[in-house]
Amino acid sequence: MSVHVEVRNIEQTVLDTSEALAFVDAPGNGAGALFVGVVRDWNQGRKVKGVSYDVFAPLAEQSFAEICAEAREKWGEPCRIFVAHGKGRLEVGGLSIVIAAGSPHRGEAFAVCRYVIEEIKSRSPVWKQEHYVDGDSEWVKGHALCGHD
Amino acid sequence: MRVTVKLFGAFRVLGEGLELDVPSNANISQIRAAMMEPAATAELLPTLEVSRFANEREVLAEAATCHPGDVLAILPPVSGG
Repeated sequence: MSVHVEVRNIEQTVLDTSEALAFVDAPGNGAGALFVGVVRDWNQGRKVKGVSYDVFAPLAEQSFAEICAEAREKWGEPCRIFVAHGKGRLEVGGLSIVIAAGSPHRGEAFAVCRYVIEEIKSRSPVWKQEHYVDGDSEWVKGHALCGHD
Repeated sequence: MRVTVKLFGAFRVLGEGLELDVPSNANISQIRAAMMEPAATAELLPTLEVSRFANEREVLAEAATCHPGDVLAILPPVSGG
């Protein structure tokens, strides 16, 4: 398999960048690119202490697979892609998503990582609830999926 | 007939899921209408309006027909990554 997609319970097993890079490594690939999403300690002027990620896992994994297939069609079949998105609560500094792409040349690897994260942010059924230092929590306003048919 | 709607994101405030009694062969528009009352209790009517419904394989069109015992998911605007 050239693609690995996964929703992982990050309260049990943290995401691992070395696992992602190892998966996309191949003798014919001269480049490996890595993207990680990290919980930061502020958003829109509010101090954040953690984020909970809610995921509809079956459909999320299917959307990840579709996005990866699109990326391989655009940037070439030799591409190997790893996507793991966290589900559960993370504190500041925790990894929420790890994407890695391996390809013969660096251009494709960078492009694939960028494409995959942008598409996930607008298409995949994942929701983020921020927890603030003042004790309040709020679901982040997101992207509506395509309009009603 | 009865269908279950799993709740995600902002709708989690209403619990893990809702069981709805809807007319036989109800479509997604009717499921959305059946969710208006619980959504209103949590001030989620604007979010309901921009949410989609899905099963484990696909996001469903408004005209898609449901069957007794179906398990759906409501997908409010997404914010992953």
